[in-house]
Amino acid sequence: MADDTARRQRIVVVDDDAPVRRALGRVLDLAGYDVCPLASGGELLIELGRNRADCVLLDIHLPDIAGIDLQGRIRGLPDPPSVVLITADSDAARSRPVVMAGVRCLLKPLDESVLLDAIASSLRDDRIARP
Amino acid sequence: MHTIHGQIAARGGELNPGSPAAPRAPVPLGPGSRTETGGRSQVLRVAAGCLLVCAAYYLGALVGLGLRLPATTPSVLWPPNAVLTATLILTPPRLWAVYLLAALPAHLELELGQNWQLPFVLALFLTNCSEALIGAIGLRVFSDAPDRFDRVRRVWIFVAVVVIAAPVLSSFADAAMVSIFRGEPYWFVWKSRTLSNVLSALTIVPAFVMLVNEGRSYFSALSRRQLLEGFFLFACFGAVVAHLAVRPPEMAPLIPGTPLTTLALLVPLLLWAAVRFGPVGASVLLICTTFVVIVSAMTQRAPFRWMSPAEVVPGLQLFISVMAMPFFFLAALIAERKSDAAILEQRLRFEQMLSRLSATLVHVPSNHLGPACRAWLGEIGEFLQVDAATLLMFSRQGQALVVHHAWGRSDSTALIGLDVAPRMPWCVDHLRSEVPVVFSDVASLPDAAAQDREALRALGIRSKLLVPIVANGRVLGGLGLVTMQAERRWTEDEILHLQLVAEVFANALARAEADEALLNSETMKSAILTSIWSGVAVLAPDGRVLTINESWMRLAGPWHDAWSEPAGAKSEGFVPRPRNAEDLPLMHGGIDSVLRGDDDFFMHEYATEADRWCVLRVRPLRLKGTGALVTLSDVTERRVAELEATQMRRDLAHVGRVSAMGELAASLAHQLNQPLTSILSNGQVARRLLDGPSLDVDMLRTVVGEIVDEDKRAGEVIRRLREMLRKGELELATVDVNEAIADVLRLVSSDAIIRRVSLAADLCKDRPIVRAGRIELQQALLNLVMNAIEAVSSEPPDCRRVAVRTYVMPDRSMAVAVRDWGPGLSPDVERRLFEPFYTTKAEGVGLGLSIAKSIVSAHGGQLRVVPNADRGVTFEMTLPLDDLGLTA
Repeated sequence: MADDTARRQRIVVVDDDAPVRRALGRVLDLAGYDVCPLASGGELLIELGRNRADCVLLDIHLPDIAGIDLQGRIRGLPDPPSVVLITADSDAARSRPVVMAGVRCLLKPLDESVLLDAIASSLRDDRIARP
Repeated sequence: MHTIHGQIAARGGELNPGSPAAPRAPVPLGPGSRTETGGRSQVLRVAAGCLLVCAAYYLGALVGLGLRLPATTPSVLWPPNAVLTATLILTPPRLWAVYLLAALPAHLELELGQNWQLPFVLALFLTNCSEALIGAIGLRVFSDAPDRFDRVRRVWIFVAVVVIAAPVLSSFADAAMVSIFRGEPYWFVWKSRTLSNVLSALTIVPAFVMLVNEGRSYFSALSRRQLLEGFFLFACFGAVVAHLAVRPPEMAPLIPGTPLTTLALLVPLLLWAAVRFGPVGASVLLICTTFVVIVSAMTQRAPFRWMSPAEVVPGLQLFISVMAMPFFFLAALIAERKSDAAILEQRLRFEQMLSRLSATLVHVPSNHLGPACRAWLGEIGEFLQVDAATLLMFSRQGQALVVHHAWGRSDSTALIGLDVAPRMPWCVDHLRSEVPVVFSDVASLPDAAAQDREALRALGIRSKLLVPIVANGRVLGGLGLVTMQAERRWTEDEILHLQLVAEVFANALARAEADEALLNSETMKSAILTSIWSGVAVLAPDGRVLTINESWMRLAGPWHDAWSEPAGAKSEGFVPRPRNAEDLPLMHGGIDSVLRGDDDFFMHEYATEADRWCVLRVRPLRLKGTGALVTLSDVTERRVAELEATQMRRDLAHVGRVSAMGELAASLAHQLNQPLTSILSNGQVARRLLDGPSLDVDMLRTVVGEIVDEDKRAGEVIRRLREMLRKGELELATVDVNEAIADVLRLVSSDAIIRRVSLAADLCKDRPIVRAGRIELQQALLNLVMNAIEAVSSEPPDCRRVAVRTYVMPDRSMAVAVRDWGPGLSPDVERRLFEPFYTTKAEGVGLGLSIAKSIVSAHGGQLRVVPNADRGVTFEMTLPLDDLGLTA
C-alpha cells in the first residue's frame, strides 16, 4: 500500500462528472493516496505543468480534450506520470486508439479492488520503466 | 461452233480418223505454204510450190510425150494433167491461177519443142487446165474431203468427177484442137486422149495427192512387220515385172497360147496392196503397174511381142482402168471399215473413260476433288495423246484465269498457279464467251492474238485445244490440251470429247462450289450457334428438335446426353428439367401454343433441377412452315446477384436494427454507468468508513446522500429514455389492407424464392379500408409474413408454403390471417412469443413479433396466434374498419 512509501503518492483524478470524481477521490483517499480531482483536460495540463503527479486516473470522455489525446500528451512530458483510463462506454474501452496506446483502461462502474490494483500496478510498472 | 483450223496434222491418220461430217479445209501444197497468214514467207512458199508444180509438170510431160504411139498427138499416159488436177485438189482456189500459170513454162518449153504452133500449144494447155479445173471444182462441190480417198463415197465421187467426167469433157475440146491444127481424126483423138487421161487421173492423182498429203506420216507410221511385208510385196511385184520385161524371148507363155497370162499375176498383188496397205499402197502399186505394163506394151516386151502397140495399148488402158477401180474401192472400203472401227473403238474407249471420270468425280468428296482432277488430267492427256493437259479456273472476280491443275509428259508443276489472263487475252476472251479455242499451229492464230502467240511460243506450245467449263450458265474456267513436240490438227471428235469431259468437270466443280458454299453456310451457322452463349434450339412444326447448339447441351446438363443426336427427336422434355414439377407442363404448353401459332411469344423463368436459373423464350420461326426458335438463357448469375443484394439489404437492415439498438444501449449504458459508478464507489467508501476504526459520521452522511442523489439521477436517465422512445406518433391515413399486403408479398417474393417457399394470397373481393400508419401497418405485416417464411424454410418441400388471407369479421372488423405449415409452437414459446428480445433464432433480435403486436395494439387491433389443425400456426391480426368501411 501507499503507506509503505516515504511520502503519499499523488493521483490526479480527471472526470467531468462531479459525483463520480468525488466518489473515486474518496476511494483513493481512503486507500492512502494524495488525490487531486480535476474536471477537464485543460485543468489537467495546467496542473501537470505546476505540480508533479505519480498517476493520472483519466476519463476518456471529457468535454474539451479527449482522454486518449491527453494520454499522448502526458507521455511527452518530462518525467511523466503513469496513466489509467476509465470509461462508461465499453465500445470506447475496446477502441483501436485505446488498445494501441497500451495503457490500462477500466470500465465504469469500478469495483474498489479493481481500481486500486490497477493504480498500484501502474505505479509499479512506471517505477520499473523509470531507472 | 467457232473453230480455228490450222494446218496439217503431224501425226498419222490413225489419230485423225476423221468423221464424215467434218468440214475440212483444203491443205496447202508443200512445206512452203503452211499458213494463210504471214506475208513474205507465204509468198516464198507459194513460189516454191510453183517451182515444184512446174518441175512435176515438166517431168510428167516428158514422160507423156515419150509414151506416144507413132504418128499420134495424144499420149498413151499423160501425167501433166494429173499433176495439175492433184495440185488444184491440194491448194486453195485463190491460188489455182498461180499454180496453173506456173505449169505454163514447162508446157511451152516441151510442146514448142515438138515444133507445134504456139496457138495449138496454148490451146492444148487450156484444155489441160480445163480438165484439171473440172475435176478439182467437181470434187470440191461433191466431196466432203477432196484430198482423201479413204471412204467409198469419196472414191466414187473422185472416179465420177476426176477420172471420168473431167477427161471425157475436156477431150472434146482437145480432140477438136488436135483435129483442127494437126488434121487427125476427131473421134480417134478423142477416144485415145480420153482413155489415156482416164488412166492418168485414176493412177496418178490419188498417188500424188496422198503422197504429198500423208506420205511422210504414212510411211513413218508403218510398223517393222508392215515394212517387211511391203518389201516382200514389191519383191513379188519385181518378179512379175521381170517376167514381163526380162523374160527371154524363147520362153513359152506360162499357159500356152495365152501370152498375157503374166498380167493376171498382177491382180493378186494389187489385191494384196489394197487389202494390206490401204489406198496409199494400192495407188502406189497401181501407178507402178501402169507404167510397167504400158512401157512393156509400148516397147513390145515379151507378152506383147507379137502385138502392135497401137492395137494393144487402148485395150490395156481400158483394162487397167477398169481393173484398178475395184481395187480402189476395195482399199477405200477397207480403210473406211478400219477407220470406222477405230472411231468406234476410240469412242467406246472414250465413253468408258468418260463414264469412269463421271463416276469418280461424282463420288469424290469435294475436298478430294483436286487430286482427282490432277489424276484425270493425266488420263485424258494420255488418252488423247497430248503433251500436257491443264485445268484453268477463273478467279472469283473473273479477272484472273489461273492454272489449278496440270499434267504433262515433262514436268508441268511450274504451270500451276500461272495466271494466263494477262498473257493470253485472246484465248481468255474466247473462253469467257464460251467458245472453244482450237488451233493446230501457233502461227495460224489471227493478228488479234499476237500477244497470245508470243506467250504460247514462250511456253513451247505448238497446238492447243481449250474448251470452256460452263456450269449454271457461268464459265468456271477451261480445260486445255496442248502439244509441244509437234503440231496437231484437232478433229471434231476430239473437240467434242473434250467438251464432254469439260461438262463432267463442270458438274464436279459446280458441285464442289455448291458443297463449299453449303459448308460455308453450315460452318457459319454452326459457328454462330456455337458462339452464342444462350442455348438455342430449333423446333420443327411437329415439335421435333432440329438443332440444338452446344450452349443448350451445357445448360441442359449431364442428363441430356441423349440429346447429342437431336435431329428427329421429339421435343418432349428437351428443356432442362425444372426443380418444380409444375413448371414442366407450363413450359410445354407455352412451346406448343407458339408452335400452333396461338401465341407469338412465350417466356418463362424457372429454376432447373441443376440449381440454375433459366429463362426460356419461344418465338415462332417463320421460315418454312412454322416451327419455333427456343432460346434458353442462364440467368443464375443475375438471380444470385439479386438474391445477394436482397440478402445484403436484409443483413444491413438487421445490422442497422442491431446497431441502432446498440447505440441506444451504449447511450443507456453510459448514462446509467455514471451514476452507477458513483453509487458503487460511494457505497464501497461507506463500507470502509463503517469498517474503519473511527466512524466519520459527517463523511458517511455525505457519501450516503450522494448515493441517494445518484440513484435518483439513474432513475431520471431511464425516465428520459422512455419518454424518448414514446415520442413517435402514428400518422394515420386510409390504407387498403389488400394493397398493403400485395406490397409486402412483392417485397418478400425474392426471399420466398430463395428459400423455395411458395406464397399464396387469398384476398377478399372488397377493398378493406382501415385508418392506420401505412408504414407501420406494412412493418407489422412484413414481420408476420417473414416470420412465417422463416418458420417453414427448413421444412420438407410440400410444407414450404405460406398463405395470406384477408377477410371481414362479423363485427365489421378487418382480419388478416398469415398461415404457415411450419413445426408449430411449443407451449413455452407460445407463452413468450410476443416478448421483446425473445427469439428462437440464432441471428434473430426478438423484436419482430413484439413490434408487430405493439403496432397492431397502437391501431386498436389485436394480434393472436392460433395453432392450425394440421400443421403450423396462423397469426390473426384484426383491425377496426374505417368509417368508410368497405369500398367496392
